[in-house]
Amino acid sequence: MTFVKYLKTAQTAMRGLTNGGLAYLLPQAALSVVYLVPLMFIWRAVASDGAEAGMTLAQLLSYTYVNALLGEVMIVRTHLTAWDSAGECMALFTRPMPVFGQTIARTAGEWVPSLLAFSLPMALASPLFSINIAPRTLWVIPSLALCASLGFAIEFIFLCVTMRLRNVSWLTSVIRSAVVSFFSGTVIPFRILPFGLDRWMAYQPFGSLGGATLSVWVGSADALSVIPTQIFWNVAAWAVAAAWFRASRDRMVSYGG
Amino acid sequence: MGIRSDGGRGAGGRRAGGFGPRRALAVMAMYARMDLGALLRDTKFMVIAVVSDICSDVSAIFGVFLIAWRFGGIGGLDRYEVLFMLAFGGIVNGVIAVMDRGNASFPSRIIGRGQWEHMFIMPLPYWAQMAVGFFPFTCSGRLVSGAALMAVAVANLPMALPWWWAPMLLANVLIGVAVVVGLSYLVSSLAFYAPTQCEEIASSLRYSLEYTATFPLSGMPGFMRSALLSAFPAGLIAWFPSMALLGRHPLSSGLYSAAFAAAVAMAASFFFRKGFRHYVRRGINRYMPGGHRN
Repeated sequence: MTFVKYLKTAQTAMRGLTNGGLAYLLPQAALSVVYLVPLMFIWRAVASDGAEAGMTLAQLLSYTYVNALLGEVMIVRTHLTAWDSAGECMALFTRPMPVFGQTIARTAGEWVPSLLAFSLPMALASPLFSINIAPRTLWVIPSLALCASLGFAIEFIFLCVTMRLRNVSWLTSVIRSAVVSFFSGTVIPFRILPFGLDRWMAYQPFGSLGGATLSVWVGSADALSVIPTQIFWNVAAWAVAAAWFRASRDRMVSYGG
Repeated sequence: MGIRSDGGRGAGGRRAGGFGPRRALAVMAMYARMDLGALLRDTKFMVIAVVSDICSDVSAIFGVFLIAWRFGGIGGLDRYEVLFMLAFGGIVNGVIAVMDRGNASFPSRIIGRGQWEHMFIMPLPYWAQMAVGFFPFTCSGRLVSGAALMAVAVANLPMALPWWWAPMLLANVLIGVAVVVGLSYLVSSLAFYAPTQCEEIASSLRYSLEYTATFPLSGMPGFMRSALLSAFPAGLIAWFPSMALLGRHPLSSGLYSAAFAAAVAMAASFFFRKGFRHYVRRGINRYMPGGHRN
């Protein structure tokens, strides 16, 4: 029964995105393509210059393409900080389900329409662009699960930051996006960073998000070194998120939208 | 709604008569004083705002710059030429941020949130309300970081800068601003027809333009370059003007940017007025009788 409740919550969130029709998903799909295409041409330009990247062109293209297909899972974005500002976080406490579970179910439900309407067709079309998106190892499955799990934990930590600082939901969101987009390694693989950054970037907490999973996916990193790091950061981040959320939730101040 | 369209002059447009440079400067000074007041009243919040802007801007360009550094350049541009291009884009976005009075460069938000009506009672023409904002203290993070990065890039460029370089830089920044803001107003016209659905259409466009503008088009195939200089003109924000300023393209290439900006401005003006006329007849459905936004 418990699982059914979460499934229904996810279904409700999914329908919330598609009530107006699938046409409303098209602008986001178009933006995803806009984000994808220039970076792929950058990799081709770098490769045509004959530079030694530490990754093959095929790996770089797969890395970028898979990130576009699974971007919402690689870097989890919930509505938590927006809900805090709009007063919706309070509604989470009025329902007979844990706040963590509701948030995860609603977010996962919102992934489904774009996975079906954008990711699936783009995955089927990948051979047309000569891009191989098949994962090099099945270890990518636990790695992806750990990546998503850590993403949710980080979202709750940023919610706690928002609660503590009060009335800075938008700014927290901007800082979070800026920090996570670079330090996760989803756009620029750690392997090609200069100044020796490639040696330690994988070990900071955001490094266990999408960049870690993508590295396993394309075979540029060893799963047996990546997954233990992901497990460590999951344990640490969830411990911080749970404890801090418990200590912070009474301080929540929302004005409503 | 019962509000008559007055050709875009606003309630005060009739009463205030002309709106000249002196009045514009007075309004800008007033905004600057309010901005300083906001900084001093809630310094913690405002410092977080400035830091978040800088983080956002640096993060946006850091990835491309690191690629350029790692490979000694991208597509024929060397490291500091890439940094120059990135800094130029940062300055364009920074100028818009400093002048952005309450989402003035994201008009679909104002329209979609039912806030356009607030302008009806102000003693200034609509265009003046939207154009004349000035927030040099709390919104200058992106401009300052862009200028600092440009100083680093220029100091490392292997070229001597001619006398006309600084005015050309200023002109190109203004053209870049005109392209971005013009496109934002053009797509925001849709918010007059569908306020709820199109509330964030300007931000979607702006953020995707800003992201795509960080990529050097040098080395990209011709069809891709053409698309990014016309249909989705992200290349006009940073790469194309940078090429002229770096001496890679002839100076006359700036005429294309200027013509494009003019065309976008005319289209935006036409469609925005058309949308506004529709809006004053139909009103907005965002608010319930209790005052909450639906």
